[in-house]
Amino acid sequence: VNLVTLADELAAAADTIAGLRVAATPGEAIRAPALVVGLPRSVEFDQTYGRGSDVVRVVLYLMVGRTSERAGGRAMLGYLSGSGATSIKAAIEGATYTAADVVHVESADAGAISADGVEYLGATFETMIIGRGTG
Amino acid sequence: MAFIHGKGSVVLLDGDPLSAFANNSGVELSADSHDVTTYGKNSHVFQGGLKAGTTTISGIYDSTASTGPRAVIAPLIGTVVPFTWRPEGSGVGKPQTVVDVLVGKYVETAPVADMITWSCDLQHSDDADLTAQAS
Repeated sequence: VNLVTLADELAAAADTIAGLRVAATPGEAIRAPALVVGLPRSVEFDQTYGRGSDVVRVVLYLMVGRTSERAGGRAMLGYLSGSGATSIKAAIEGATYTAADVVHVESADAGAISADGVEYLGATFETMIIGRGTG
Repeated sequence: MAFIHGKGSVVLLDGDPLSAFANNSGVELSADSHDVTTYGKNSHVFQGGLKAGTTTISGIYDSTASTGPRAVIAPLIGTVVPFTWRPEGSGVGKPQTVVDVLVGKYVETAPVADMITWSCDLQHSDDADLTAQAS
């Protein structure tokens, strides 16, 4: 799995959601609502013989709005939904990938996320990716 | 002597490579035992009989139309074909087991929250050639 290509493709998939600002890697300034593709939490090599396949686990960080502003709750429900125009899961799983065979958003956890010293209402999306070991 | 990792193992069924889709394999070689104990003995005495063997292979299902496990194995059910197992991978002098096998069972399993997997059971037919790889 080419992780650079994978991050770009995950970001492109999330970027299809209108109004959502997306970053392929951490480090950019946050302007909510925003989604950041986290660095891989784990890369499990050699799931099949001969570098046949690897499993990558990535967390997507969604920041809907500052918690101090007490807004964004309704938008949050749309992002957390399993389907719909603003569904993160639907956007991520509905895309076509060259760096992966399978992209599965396994779960989402809503809560406060801190970035650059600011606390946001947000969610994390645990995502499992399977791709070719040599791809 | 050295410990050897299994990630480079090679499995070929009817000449088709299955390594990229497999993550477990095992070859069992056995022989019948005949009790030839006679009066006056204090312990059983055994003599070896006919040899036998079985092989199991399993892995992650792949939808590749012409080379995936379903495409390769399913048409071979009930037939006897050549099988090659190279636990340390390919290379001159490395061990291998070459034997004709009856393809007896092919199983696909699809859990809701995980990857589709496959497995197959092979019954050895006639002697196994345990000569190390020459090329």
